[in-house]
Amino acid sequence: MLGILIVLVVLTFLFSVLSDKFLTTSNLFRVLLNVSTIGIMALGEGLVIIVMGMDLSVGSTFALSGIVAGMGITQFSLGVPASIALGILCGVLIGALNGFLILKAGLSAFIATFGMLSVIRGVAYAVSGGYTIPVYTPAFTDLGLASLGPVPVPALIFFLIVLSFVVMLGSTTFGASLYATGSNERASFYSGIRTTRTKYIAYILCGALAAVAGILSTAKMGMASSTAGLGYELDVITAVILGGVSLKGGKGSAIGIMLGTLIMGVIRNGLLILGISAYYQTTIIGCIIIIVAMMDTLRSSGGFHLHRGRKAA
Amino acid sequence: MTPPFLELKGITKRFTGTLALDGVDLTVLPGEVLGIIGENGAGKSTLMNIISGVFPEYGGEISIDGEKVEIHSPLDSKRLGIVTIHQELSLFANLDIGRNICMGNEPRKNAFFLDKPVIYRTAMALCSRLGLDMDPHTLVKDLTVAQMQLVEIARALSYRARLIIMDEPSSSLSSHEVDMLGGVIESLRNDGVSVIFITHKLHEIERFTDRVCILRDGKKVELLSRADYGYERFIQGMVGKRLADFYMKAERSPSEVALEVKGLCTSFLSDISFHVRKGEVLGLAGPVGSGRTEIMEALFGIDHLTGGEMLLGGSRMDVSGPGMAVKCGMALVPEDRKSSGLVLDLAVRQNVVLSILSRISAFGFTRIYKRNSIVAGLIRTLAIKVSGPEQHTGSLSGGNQQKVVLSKWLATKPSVLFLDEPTRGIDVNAKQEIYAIINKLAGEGLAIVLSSSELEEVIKMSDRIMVLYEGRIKGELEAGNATEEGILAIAHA
Repeated sequence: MLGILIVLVVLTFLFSVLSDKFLTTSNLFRVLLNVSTIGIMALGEGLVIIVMGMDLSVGSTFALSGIVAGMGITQFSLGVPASIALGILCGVLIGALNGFLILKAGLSAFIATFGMLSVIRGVAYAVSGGYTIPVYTPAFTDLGLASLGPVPVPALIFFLIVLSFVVMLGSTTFGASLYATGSNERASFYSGIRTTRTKYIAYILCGALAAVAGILSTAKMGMASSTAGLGYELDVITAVILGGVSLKGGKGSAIGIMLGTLIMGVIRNGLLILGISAYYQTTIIGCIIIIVAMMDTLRSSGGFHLHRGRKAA
Repeated sequence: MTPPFLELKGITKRFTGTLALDGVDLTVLPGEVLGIIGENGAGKSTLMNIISGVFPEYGGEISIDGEKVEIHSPLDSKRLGIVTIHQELSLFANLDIGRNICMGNEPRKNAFFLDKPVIYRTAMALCSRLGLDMDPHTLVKDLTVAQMQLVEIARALSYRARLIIMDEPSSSLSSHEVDMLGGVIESLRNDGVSVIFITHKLHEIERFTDRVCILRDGKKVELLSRADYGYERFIQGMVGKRLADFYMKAERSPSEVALEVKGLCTSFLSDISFHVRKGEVLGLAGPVGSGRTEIMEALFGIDHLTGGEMLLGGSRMDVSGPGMAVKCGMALVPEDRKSSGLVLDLAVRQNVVLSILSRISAFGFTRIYKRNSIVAGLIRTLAIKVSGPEQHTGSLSGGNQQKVVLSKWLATKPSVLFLDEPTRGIDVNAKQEIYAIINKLAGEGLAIVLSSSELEEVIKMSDRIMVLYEGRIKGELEAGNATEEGILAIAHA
């Protein structure tokens, strides 16, 4: 995790030197606002990846939950809290369905959620009829646009979720089961841990958080769109990897994922301020992923030996 | 007198702070099988690494055929005719047998092209010499472990090896395959090829070797020839203690029946019935694949039962999975602690509480204070050598890792403890500590089922022994009357 923090600090320093527009409070809070939704989704995705799974459908869940909440408010007059609850329920159900396909029907996580990505997106198109749904209710849009002091509400919600994840992953039975199952499922199973239930919960939380992000985004934009979140899964997974979550399972932290998300936000914002084309952002983020991964490998293998031959034991 | 092929004089190896080898003298005669035994840390691997050129710096002299040589790289060693076959085989899984055998040494038509017909002819000749009946075009990944081992030996022979070092060769072989390996070693011997045979399984020393060298703390303490072979002598050499004090089984008086199994059937097992009392150790004996592990996994809810029932403390139990098994008071120390017993990437304290997470939690939150006191207590009771409870489990020695597995299960306060190969891959000192723990637990009233492929261990540790063969019970006997031959006779009857 230290490596990730260093990268973030270095990047921040770099951009503040290259442009005096970067290190201002308003800009920094803008970065926070922009990354909040991806960050929330990344926390959920992180859970799934820690436990050796994958969820590629988060972008579609993002859209559908926003539409469900939006329609609840505008077309069915359910009131804001109920509509939000319904939207989150939508994410929970999608997560449970993913879990079912992967854990009971035995599909690979990649294929199951890849299919669901299209299924859910299609449902989003169908339900909204292809139209965007404007939502004007201030009680709702405040969630996306208001600020508590200088801190935008979505960023606040992001931080609250990060904090609860820190507690959940570090101090609860579920957290311990999650890491154990992700690191060695067989040994965890033999030890009496309910590995299937742990994974189910991870998928459900991932869906729920994708829904929360989708609803927040709808509030911020003032409209629910069936094309929202298209392609987000890549950004989300990037943030997770930058955050130090190992694709081999069993490793990762909420703070790490938060830092990973911030790194992406800083890069995009910094490059934007410097006027660098959006196309280069992708390349640069790719390079950062490789550097962070190398730093992690260096740390765990205790030094830079170019993996030449076997270690004499 | 045939001159020795390999002669080591005063071999010494120092690492910063440790003297790994202290003046070891050794000779290997052509066509002899020399065994090397010693606990982990005695210096076996270091010595082999020096002979095979992995450690270029060492003190002392090495001679081949009476002439002094310098071995400073694996290539030097290979050129002198020394080849090592490690426990983790080093074949190329996606290439075929022929290419593997000739790897690095390929017959060539000219500078650019390999001579494929010669490759496969050479491979076929070597394979049939070793009794490996396979098309040399078969990919190595499609072979069994035993067949892969033969390919490695064939490769060694293609290098015109004069000494083959085999490191724990039988660890992944069935007893039939071990027999075949014995035949291969015999034929190597007849061809004048020497073999250094490293093993933890002392019965293999008696079976395969002409002489055995016992290492302890970097010194050669004994060099025995067949006339002087004896289990007691081996243990004494390796540990420095008498065998009688090794197992230390005390007198026990078992009480009521803790576990009763009636007519247990799975896809592999047929009609298994037995009982274990509190304070009793029931040994399971039988060749590899006879069903010992299967019985334990079936009772623990890992395998599906097709018939029969089990009663714990008199009540019938339907165990649907390990979680339920733990709740019913059962514990299982599995055969392979690295894959099924421990989460190596976690800290010791996380592994110790793996099975009692719900018992030490309140409203889903782990009670750290309770966890830490349980962990500290178990580390103390089992004398686990750790720098602290937060130490990375993967960095512990085999014996200490096994103690962590045991402590995890003891934390669940079980009434029945299943032990599957509890001392596999553990050095002699740690083995003794584990025996002491098992004896203490039995003395405290735990019902224990002990499965092991080391018959000596089963006989010396159990009160009663059940003999299994191909998924069936072939017989039962009191441990006091049991002998290795007797058990094998029952198994094959």
